[in-house]
Amino acid sequence: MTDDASEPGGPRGTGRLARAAAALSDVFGALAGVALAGIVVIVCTEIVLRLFRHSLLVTDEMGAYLNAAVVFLGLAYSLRHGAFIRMEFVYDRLSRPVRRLATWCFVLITTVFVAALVYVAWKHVQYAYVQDTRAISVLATPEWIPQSLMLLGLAALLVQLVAFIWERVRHVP
Amino acid sequence: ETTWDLYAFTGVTHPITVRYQMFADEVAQATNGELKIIVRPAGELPFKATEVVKATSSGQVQLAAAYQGFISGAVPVASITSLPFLVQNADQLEQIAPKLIAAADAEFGKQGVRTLFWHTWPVQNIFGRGEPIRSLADFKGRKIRSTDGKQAEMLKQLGASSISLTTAEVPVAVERGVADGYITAAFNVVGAKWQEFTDWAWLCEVHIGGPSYLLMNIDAYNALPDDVRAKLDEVAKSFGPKFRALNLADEKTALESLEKEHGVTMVKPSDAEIAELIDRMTPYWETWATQNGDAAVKLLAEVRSELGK
Amino acid sequence: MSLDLLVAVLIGGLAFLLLIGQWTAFALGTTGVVILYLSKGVIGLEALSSVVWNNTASYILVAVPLFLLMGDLILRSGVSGYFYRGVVVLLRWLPGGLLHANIMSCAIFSAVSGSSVATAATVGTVAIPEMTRRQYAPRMIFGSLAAGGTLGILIPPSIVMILYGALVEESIAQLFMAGLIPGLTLAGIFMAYIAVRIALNPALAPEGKAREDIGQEEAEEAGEEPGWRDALHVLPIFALLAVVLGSIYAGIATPTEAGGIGVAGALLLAAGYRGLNWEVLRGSLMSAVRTTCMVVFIIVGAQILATALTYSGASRAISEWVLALGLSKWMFFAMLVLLYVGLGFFVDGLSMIYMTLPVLLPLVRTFGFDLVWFGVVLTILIELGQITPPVGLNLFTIHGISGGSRFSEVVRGAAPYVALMLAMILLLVLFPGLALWLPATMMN
Ligand code: NA
Ligand code: NA
Repeated sequence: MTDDASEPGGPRGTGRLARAAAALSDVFGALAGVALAGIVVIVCTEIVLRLFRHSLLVTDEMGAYLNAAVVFLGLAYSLRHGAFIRMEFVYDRLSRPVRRLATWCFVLITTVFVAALVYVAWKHVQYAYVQDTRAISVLATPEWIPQSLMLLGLAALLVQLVAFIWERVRHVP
Repeated sequence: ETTWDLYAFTGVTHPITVRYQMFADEVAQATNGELKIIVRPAGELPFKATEVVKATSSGQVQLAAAYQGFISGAVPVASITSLPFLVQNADQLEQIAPKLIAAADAEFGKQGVRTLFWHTWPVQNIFGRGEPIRSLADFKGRKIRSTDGKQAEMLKQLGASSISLTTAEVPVAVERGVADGYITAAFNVVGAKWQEFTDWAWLCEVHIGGPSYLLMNIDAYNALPDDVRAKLDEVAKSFGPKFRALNLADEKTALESLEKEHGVTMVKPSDAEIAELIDRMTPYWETWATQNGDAAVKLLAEVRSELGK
Repeated sequence: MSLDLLVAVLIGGLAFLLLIGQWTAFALGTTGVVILYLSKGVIGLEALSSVVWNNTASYILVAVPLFLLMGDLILRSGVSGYFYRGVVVLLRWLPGGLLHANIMSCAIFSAVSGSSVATAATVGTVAIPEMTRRQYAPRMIFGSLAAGGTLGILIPPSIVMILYGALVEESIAQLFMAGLIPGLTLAGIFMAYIAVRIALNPALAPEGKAREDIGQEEAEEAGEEPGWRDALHVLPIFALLAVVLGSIYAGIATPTEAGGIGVAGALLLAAGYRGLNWEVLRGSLMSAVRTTCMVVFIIVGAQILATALTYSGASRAISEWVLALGLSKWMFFAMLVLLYVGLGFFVDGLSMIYMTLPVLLPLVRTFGFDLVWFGVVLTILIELGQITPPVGLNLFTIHGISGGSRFSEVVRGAAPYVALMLAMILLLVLFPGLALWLPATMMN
């Protein structure tokens, strides 16, 4: 997989947008790591407190939010570092030009798909904000706050895909 | 011919799901198949039970089962009945229902939905494993599972500690002593076979498990042909009371089965204990109402005067 | 939207996207979005955000990153290396010793973890580098791990059984007990299969190779010939398992939270072996983040597709078609197995349950199947789907941690285990007591 077109997850370009997208995904990725550490801390704290007949009362709620943080903030980072699985057995056998075409094809499709997700996520957060919907928990957390993680993470993924496309377009003679 | 989706958060064989299916069948029959309602049990659609107002309002589904406790974060006024010891049983709920449904519909209406009919889950009580609760003092140090802030507040008043668990985790948690008890209706205990790890019930009537509104998208309703709409209204009008009666009968059977077949110790607290609990919770009711605006304050005043609490 | 067009979009769209090398999660999601749009218009798309959010912001799912992190810590701190040297000492007399160790470790981890992915990932992160270094045939390694990992949902606790029990309102405790004997039996079948394979073709395991092939010097350097003292290094890992397991059975933690204890224990072990530093910690966290993202997004993609199939009416149409055939009890069962094997190629297990049960379950009851027994069979069918391509969560997990092996290699390694799982289902049909004896005994 040395062909640059076959590394669609990570725009290796030198353009400003590519560098910004890479930096953004790495910062979000690091935050995802922090969120995972947060899950460990909160779960262990809950277990220890329970031994003394206490409870944080928010462990399941915060744990769910932190899990969302791990996934959404880690999304662009994971794609960039090739964590996403794909069936490469046909792809690898394609000739170079066809492979290039295939890459264009699926990157564009993914971009449209992710753009659609960003749009619905935006509507979702907007609804939660306008209607002031709350979690049915002790905290009664306004739902738009944790749900913004979904919007942010998907947006970072979109930025990365767009950066990839932009880098390729820039280098088309 | 119109097809509607009805979102239910109960499983495919759950009696509540079966009753919604009965309703769908009655509607199909009354309208000669002009209105077909597809009941979508738990898991079939991607929404959580807390999202039903939005799902119905946006037209994702035309009908949705909205349990008052689950929509407390979306339409707080509609969930006034989950305030502990305020509306304790089915009779009290019937008494305040006209005012409650009117107040809830006023809020639902802002999002283009309204109540087609309502039913109620049975009374919520406290169940658990280990030494039975015999008096208020026995709650000290017990770990009871709570599902929202209102229950957590009540447990604090009881001197118990609350613990948060997802429903799926309850059996293992109680069996292993992670939790000592949980709050639900006997109907659910038997339905989920939780009696296997349940030793006692403390029948204090925390609150009635209702109403469970059947939310309807108003635009979809208005788009129905006049005769179909009339038939739907007719079926809905008689179905609500029937649904409630069936649920309450189930609860009676479930309580008997728990006591006689499964040896669950049933303790009913004295009137004095209940009166004390009501006293302890009153300030919390008022705080809740203040936090949720004028509509909530007005409704709470009406409910309290109606029930003399 | 007609059913024909829908099936064409489903199969054609998925095949096209997967063949051009689309990321699987996005191939599933995109196909789902197209079907949603075709059958419901723009309104259908509004359901997407609920699918994405509800399948991610879930407390039950935190078991996945936690158990992944535990495995990563054990691996990166070098503790796994010591463990494996110990296992070598204990199992080197068996032909294909470490392959058996994989199945056994998976069975042990299954008693801790409720998820197949977490089981495969935990054992896999430890086993793959060690076994690759010892020159086991990659296919045998991957197959044993992918299949062994599926035991995670059959041997209690099990996330699948919790969700199935909640859906059909059967006792989760009984389901758990019903899964235990079939789980151990299946592990035994896997080990018997490995023994036969190695007997037929000794070159699949390093014992069958000439010493020179392995690289004598490298072996010496790595301390390839461990002494009996090295066997002691299995103890810390067993202690970790005992603590994690014990925390569940002693009522200290729920199965989900046990992952947190696992991480804390792994940190202690790593520190004890002087293998804990910032690099190890950071590397483990980020690796767990990547694998979690991949797995959760495949669940999200599969759920988008499942929602689309529900909305379009396809799931009900397909199930009703099966119904209309008027089959006998066991013909129906055979059809059901076929249906789930077929769906299992493309759809992840939980989606499969949610897509089909609403229509099939009343029928399963009508035919008089015991729902606890059926839950065990369904769980094995889901396990089977987890190791069939193109969509197999365990295949993805093992591939993800295989360090650059080809996906097809993982697929081929896991293929024989599909037949073994079908054999297990046949056993359950012939001897339903395998599943039902334990719950019945424990209840009385
Ligand atoms: Na398990
Ligand atoms: Na599969």
